[in-house]
Amino acid sequence: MNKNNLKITEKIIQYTEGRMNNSEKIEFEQELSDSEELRKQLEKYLTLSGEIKKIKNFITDETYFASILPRFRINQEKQRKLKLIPGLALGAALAAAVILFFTITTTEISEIQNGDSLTFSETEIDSLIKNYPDYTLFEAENEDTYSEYVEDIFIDELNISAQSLDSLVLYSSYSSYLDLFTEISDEEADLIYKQVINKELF
Amino acid sequence: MTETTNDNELVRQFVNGSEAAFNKLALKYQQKIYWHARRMTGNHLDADEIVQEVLIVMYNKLKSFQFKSSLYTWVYKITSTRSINHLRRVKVKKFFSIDESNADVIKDVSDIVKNIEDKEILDRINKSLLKLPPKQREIFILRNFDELSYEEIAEITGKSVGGLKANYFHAVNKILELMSDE
Repeated sequence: MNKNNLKITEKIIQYTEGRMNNSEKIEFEQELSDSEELRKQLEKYLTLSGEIKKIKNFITDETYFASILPRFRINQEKQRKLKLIPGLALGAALAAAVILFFTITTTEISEIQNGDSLTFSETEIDSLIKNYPDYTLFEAENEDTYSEYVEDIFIDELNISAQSLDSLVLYSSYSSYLDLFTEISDEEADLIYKQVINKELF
Repeated sequence: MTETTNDNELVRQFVNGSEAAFNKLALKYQQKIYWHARRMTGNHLDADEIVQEVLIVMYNKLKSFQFKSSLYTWVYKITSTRSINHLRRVKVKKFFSIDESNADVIKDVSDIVKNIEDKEILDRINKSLLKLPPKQREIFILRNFDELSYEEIAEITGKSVGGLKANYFHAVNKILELMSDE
């Protein structure tokens, strides 16, 4: 960039903006009359200023300016909704977490109630058995109790009446069910059970 | 009531919950914001985007407005910063973009200057302005189009008056040189 041009431009701006004192102004006007280059530069500057004035007074599409504020308000509303979405998502996540917590807690309670996953000390087991309404069943040592118990099973599960039961070989062959429990294996018991099931009893 | 007092009153009303006061401020400054951004970026769509951004900033930050400066220098400061940031983003995008000619064509379609002669002058000035470094362009626009004093420009840009003047003389000289080349 030509340093001389920059100096000339500076003088032109100060002159046109009225920032020169009287002596500076007289000196500049003298230079103007002497220098063709300065006159050309001043002319260009005035052309530029004229064009700038023109474009400041353009007729523009006023509907655009009328639309700025409504569009801002719409965008603002969208932004507000966008801010709400993470809030809603957080709320939903919290609700889901609460539901999940209660589901897990309820499942655990039902498991506890079913006794599936409990471990007890021996004293706790004794206490539970004693408080269990049918604990006498587990403590019973005489065969009559077992006989009654097995009879009930026959009646309930095999749908056999007490009278029919008397005629069964199985029932009469074993006087002690305790022996029956100790003498046969589980497989044998299953086999007998299946045979009894398939047998035409009545 | 002076303009500054009126602006300050509107700001107070807005801070106290009046949306209508904000609407009045937005309507008052929207054209100034648009044209400053338009001259800085050289196109309508970018200017439109900046106008919306500035209004959002105004809306969010007016509550912390300190009344230390006038509202219009504050608005110009936001607009100027947004425009320069936008130019930086565009520069980065162009650097990574293969096809940049299409974008310019699309931008011209929605221009709000409809008169062909006016548009020619605007394009010629814009073309020269875009050849200036952003900081010089900013000062040239604030001084010539927005008609702000050097002191006001100093407040907006945070530069010394002496430094601004030097930058402004460089900007005018460059534009005069470009005019000679045409």
